[in-house]
Amino acid sequence: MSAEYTVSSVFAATPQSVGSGRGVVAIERGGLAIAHLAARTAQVQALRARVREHFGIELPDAARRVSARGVAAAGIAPQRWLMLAQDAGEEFVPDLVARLEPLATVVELTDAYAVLRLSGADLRASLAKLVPIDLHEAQFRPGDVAQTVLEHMPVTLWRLEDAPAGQPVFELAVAGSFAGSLYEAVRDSAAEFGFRFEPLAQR
Amino acid sequence: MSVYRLAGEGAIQRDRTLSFTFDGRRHSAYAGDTLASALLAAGVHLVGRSFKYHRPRGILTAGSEEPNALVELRCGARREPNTRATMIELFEGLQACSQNAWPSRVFDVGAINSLLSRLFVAGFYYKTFMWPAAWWEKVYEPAIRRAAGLGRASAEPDPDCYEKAHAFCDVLVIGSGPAGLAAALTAARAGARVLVCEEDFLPGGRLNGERHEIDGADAASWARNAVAELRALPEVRFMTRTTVFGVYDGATYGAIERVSDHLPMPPEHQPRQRFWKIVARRTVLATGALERTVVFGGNDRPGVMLAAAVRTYVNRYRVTPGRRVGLFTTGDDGWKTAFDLLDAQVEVPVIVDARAAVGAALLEQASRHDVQVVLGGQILSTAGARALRRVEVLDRDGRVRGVPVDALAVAGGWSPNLALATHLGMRPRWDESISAHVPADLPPSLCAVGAAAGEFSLAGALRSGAAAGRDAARTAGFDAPLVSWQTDEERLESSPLWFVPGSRGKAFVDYQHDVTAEDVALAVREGYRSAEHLKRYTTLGMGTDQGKTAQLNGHALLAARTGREVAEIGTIAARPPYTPVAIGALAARERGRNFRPYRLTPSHRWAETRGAVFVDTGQWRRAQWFALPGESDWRSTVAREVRSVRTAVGVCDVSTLGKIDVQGRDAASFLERIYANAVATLPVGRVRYGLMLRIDGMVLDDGTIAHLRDGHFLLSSSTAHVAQVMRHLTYAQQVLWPELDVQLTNVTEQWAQFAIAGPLARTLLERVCAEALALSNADLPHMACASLRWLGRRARLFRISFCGELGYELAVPARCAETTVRALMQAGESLGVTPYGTEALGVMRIEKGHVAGPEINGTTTAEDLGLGRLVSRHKDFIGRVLASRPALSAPDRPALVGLRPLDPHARLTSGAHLLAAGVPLSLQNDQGFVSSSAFSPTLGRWIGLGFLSRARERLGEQIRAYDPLRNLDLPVEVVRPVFYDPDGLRVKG
Repeated sequence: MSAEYTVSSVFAATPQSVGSGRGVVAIERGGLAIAHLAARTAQVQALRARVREHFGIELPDAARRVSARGVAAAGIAPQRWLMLAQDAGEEFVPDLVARLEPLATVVELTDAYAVLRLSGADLRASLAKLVPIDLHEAQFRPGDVAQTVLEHMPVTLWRLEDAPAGQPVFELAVAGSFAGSLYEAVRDSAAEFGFRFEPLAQR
Repeated sequence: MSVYRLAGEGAIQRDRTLSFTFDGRRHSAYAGDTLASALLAAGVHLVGRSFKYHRPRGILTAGSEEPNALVELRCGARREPNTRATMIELFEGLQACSQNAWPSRVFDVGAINSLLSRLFVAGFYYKTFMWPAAWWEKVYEPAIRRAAGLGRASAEPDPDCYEKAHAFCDVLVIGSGPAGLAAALTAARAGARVLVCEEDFLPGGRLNGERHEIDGADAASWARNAVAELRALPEVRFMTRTTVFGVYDGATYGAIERVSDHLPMPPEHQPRQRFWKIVARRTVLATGALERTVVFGGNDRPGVMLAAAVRTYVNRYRVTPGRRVGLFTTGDDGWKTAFDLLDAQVEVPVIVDARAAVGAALLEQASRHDVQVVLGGQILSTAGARALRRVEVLDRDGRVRGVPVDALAVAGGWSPNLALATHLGMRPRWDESISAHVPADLPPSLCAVGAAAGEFSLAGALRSGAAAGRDAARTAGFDAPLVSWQTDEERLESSPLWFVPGSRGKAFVDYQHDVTAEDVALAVREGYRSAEHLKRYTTLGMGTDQGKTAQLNGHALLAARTGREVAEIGTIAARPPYTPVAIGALAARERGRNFRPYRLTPSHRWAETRGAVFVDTGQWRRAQWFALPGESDWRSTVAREVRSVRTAVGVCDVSTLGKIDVQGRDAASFLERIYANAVATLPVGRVRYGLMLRIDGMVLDDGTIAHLRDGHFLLSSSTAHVAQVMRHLTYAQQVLWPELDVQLTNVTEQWAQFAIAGPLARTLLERVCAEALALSNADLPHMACASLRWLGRRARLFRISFCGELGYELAVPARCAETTVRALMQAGESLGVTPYGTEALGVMRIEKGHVAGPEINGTTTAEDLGLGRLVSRHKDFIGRVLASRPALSAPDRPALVGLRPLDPHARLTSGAHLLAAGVPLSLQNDQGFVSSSAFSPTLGRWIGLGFLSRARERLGEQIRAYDPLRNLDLPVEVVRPVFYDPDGLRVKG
C-alpha cells in the first residue's frame, strides 16, 4: 500500500455558517499528534526531568496545560497527561515512546480525539449552554484544563491565551466517534449569536 | 377608552396599542399590559369556570400565585392550558380561551355541579366510587376527568425548541422588589458577581404597584434607575421573565427563563424557554409576600380581588377592576388600596375593617372622601349572577346591610412567600407579631430579606436587603459599604381574620380546587388533624397554584375547628417547582434525534455510500446490513452476506468493540488476577480468549487478550461493556492493587478495526499487505498477532475469528479507516468481497455458538455459559470465591444449549420459554428460555441458543418452546450449542 491516506473532517464535511457567522467560530484542529502519558510507579520525578530536558516543559501537577516549542502537556489526572504536538509528524508519538520508556507508559491517541478550537465574542455564553462548569474569566484562566461532560459526551477542554482582540479561545477535545454529535451541539448553542465552522484542510 | 382604563402613566405604553382575542372576541390594550389587566380594561371580569363546581371566576391576583384566571393560551400545536392570565405579557394577536366551560364561560352546563355540591364535598371521590372496583378505570375516572379538570393540552408535537444553560455567581438575588434591588445594588457595587432573577417582565416588584418615594423620587423610577445601574455593571446579569422554581442541594437552583413567551412565536435561533441551572455561593431570597384572602360567603365571585392586586392594576396598569370598589380589610395595608382608588377618581362606597379600632390618620384621610367606614365589620356574602353586584356587610352592632359594588378589594393580611425557603426541608417558624410563618433554619448559603422574611415595610425591605447584599458580597471576598435609602414610614398594623363565622353561601378557602370552609370542617369531623392530611383529603393547596393564597386560611380553620392555635398546626412543606414548569424546558435540546448523542464508526461515511442500513446499538450507529439494489427483504440481504463470508470473504467494521491498552512491569500479573483463565502463559505475539468475572462470580465480559510485547497487552471487550470493563479494571488498579505497576488506557477510539473473514481472507490480505507481513499459517497461525506498517503508520493484524471462518482483524489508526476499507474492497473485488453488518455477524456467531450480550447478561456464570473448563483452578482472581457458591453449580441451574425446531421451516424466537414435552403450560414447569435465535442461511433453518435446566443430560431430547407474546408453540430438539464446523477446523485454514 502506498503511504497516502485521505483525512477528512470528522465534524462536518464542509464549511458551515449560521447567521452573521461572527459570535462563535469553530475551527477543526488538524496535524495534532496526541499521546497519553502515564508515569510508571515511582518514576514521576525522573519522568519530569526527562520531559523538561527534551521539551522544556514542566509537567503540571494540576489540571493545567503548559506548552513550549509546539508541544503541550495537559494534566488530566494525578501523574497522567495528554501530550499534544502541532505538526510534529507521525513519528512524534513513536519517538516519545522511545524517549520516555520505561519512565512512563506512552500510548498514541492521535486518532482517538477530534479537537475544535473555539473563539468569538459570544463564546462563553454559548459554552454556558454546553458544559456545567464555570468558565468565567477569573475562574478558568488561560492554561486551565477541565474534563467534563457536554450533552452526555465526555470532553476535555482547555483555555488558550486570549485572541489579540481580547476574546477568549478554548479548545474542546472529544472522542472521534462523537464528533458529529458534538458539532451539532456546538452549532445549535451558537446559532443565536452567529456561527462559523472551518473543517480540516484536506491534505 | 374603556370606563375601566384610568388616565395617567403607569407602566403601560399608551402609544403601542395591541389587539388580542379572548374566547374569539377581539379586544385591544397596550404594550405593558398582562392578559389580566387587558381583560379588566376591556370589562371582562368573568374569565373562566372553577374546577369542581364550575362557578364563574374572575381574576384574584396580579401575580404568579393566581388560582382562578387560568386560560388556554394560543392555539394549534402551541396551545398551552392552565396559563395564568396574570402572567401572560400581552402581544399583538394573542389568542386566549377560557377553560372548563361548555358551551361557553357565560353559560356553562357544568354549573349544575354547583347544585349537586352536597355530593361533591371533600373525600367525595374516595367514598362514592369505591365499588364496583372495576368501574373506576372504565367509568368513574373518565367521567370525572371530563367534568372536572383544567385545560386541554395540545396533542401535537411542540413546535418550539428549548435550551438549558448554566450560570455561576457569588450572589443570587431572587426577586427584584425593593429588598432584592437593595441587596443586588450593595453586592454589585462591591464588585461581586451578581445574578438577579425576576419572574415579572418589569423589575421592581411592588414598587411598580404602589405609590412610594425613595430618596425623593417616585419608587417606580427609583427601581428603573437601580436596574439600569445594575445592568451596566460587567459582573451583573439581570434576568427578567425568569422564575427560580427550585432550590437543590449544593447551593444549586433551577430557573426558567421565558425567552419568547411574550412574542407570537420565538424568533429564529431562539428557544421558547431556557432552563438555567444556577450555582450560587450565597443567595438572597427577596421573593416578597403573598396577600391572603378572607374566607367569607361568595368570596369567589368575579369582582372579588385581593387588595394589593387592585392597587397594582390601578397604579401599574392604570386599570380599575370596577367603578364602585368596596374594601374588606384586616389591617392598615388594605386602606392604601382604597386611597389609591379614590385618588384615581374611582368610587369607594365602603371600607369594612374587621378591627374595632384603627389609627386616626386613616379615618382622617377617609373622611376627606365620601366613604362609609365600618369598623369591627365583616362581609357575610356577595351577590351577583356572573359578576359582583352587592356585598352584605355585618356591622359590630349585628346589623346587616347591602352595599352595591361592582368590585371588592380583600386584604386578609400578608404571608411571606415561603416556597423556596422550604425546598430543602426547612420548616418555617410562626411569627405571632405578623400572624404568619417566616423562613427558619435556612442553610448558611441562603437568607431571606424584606417581605419574604416578614419585614413588610418598604424601609425595612431596603434596610434588610442592603445588609444581606453586603454579607453575601463579603463571603465572596468583596467589601461593600452599607448604602441606605430614605423612604416614607408606614404604619402596617393588622389583626388577622381568617374566616367570617356567619358567612352565607359557599365560603372558599382554596379557589382553584373549590375547597370551602365546610370541607375543612368535614375533614376535621372525619378525624383529620394535620395540615398534610388536610391537604390530601380536601385537595387544599394542590393544583397549579399550590394554594399560595389559601394555605394559611385553611390551617387557621383547621386550628379553630380542633381547638388549637395556628402556630400548633405548622405548615406544609413546599416542593419544587414553585410555579409550573414545561417538561420541554427540562428536556431542553434532548428530544427527537438529539435525545442522546450518537457515535459513528470510523468507516461510517463509506458505509453510507454502500447502502448500509444503520442500527442504534447503545450510542453507536452501526451498519446492520448492506442492501444491494433490488434487494427488498432484509433477510435475503443478510443471507447473502453470510453466504459470502462462508464461501468467499467479507469485511465488517468491528471498531466499536472495546480496546484497552495495559502496560507496566506488573501488567501480566495484574491481568492474571483479573481474568478467570490463565494469562501468564500467553507468549508475546499470541492472542487468547479471556473471561472476566465480577466480584459476585457472574461473568462480566468476554474478549481477547493480545500480548503485543513484553509487558504490553491489548484487551478487547464487547461493545456494550467497554465502560463497565474499564471501570472494573480501574477499580482493581487504583483500589485493590495500587502497588502494581500498571497503566490502563482506553484506546477504543484510536483504532479502526476491520474483520476480514472467509476462506479467501488470506488471499485478500496478501494483496494489500504481503510486503509488510508474512501471512502463512506458519508465520501467523490462528490466535497470533503482529504489527505492520500500513499507510505509513503503525497497524496491527490479529488472526482471530468471531464467525468461525479463517479470519483476521486489521487494526489501523482511526483516520486511516476510509482509505483502508476502500483498499480492501478494491483488492477483493475479484474475490467477491462483501461488506457485512451486525445482523450477519449475529447470525454467524449463533451458528458457531459463541455467547454474546443476550447470554452474558449479568446473571450467568462461566459454567452456565459452557465455559467452565476455562476457569483456572490454579490461581486466584476476581470472582473466584463467590463463583464457587454451591447454588451456582446446582444441576437444575439452566445452562447453555443449542435449540433446533423439529420443523425446519418453523421460526424460533428469542424470549420463548422452554418446557419439557407433554407437561402443562405453567410457570412451575418453566425450565429455561431462548436467549438468541436466527435463521441460519448456512443450515437453511432456524436455530437458537438458550438456557435449560439440567442441560448436559438432555442432548437429543425433544422439548417445547412456547412464546405467548408471539403466540408460537413448537417442539424443538436440544443440541450442542455449535451448529457449524463443530471441530473448529475452518478457522485454522
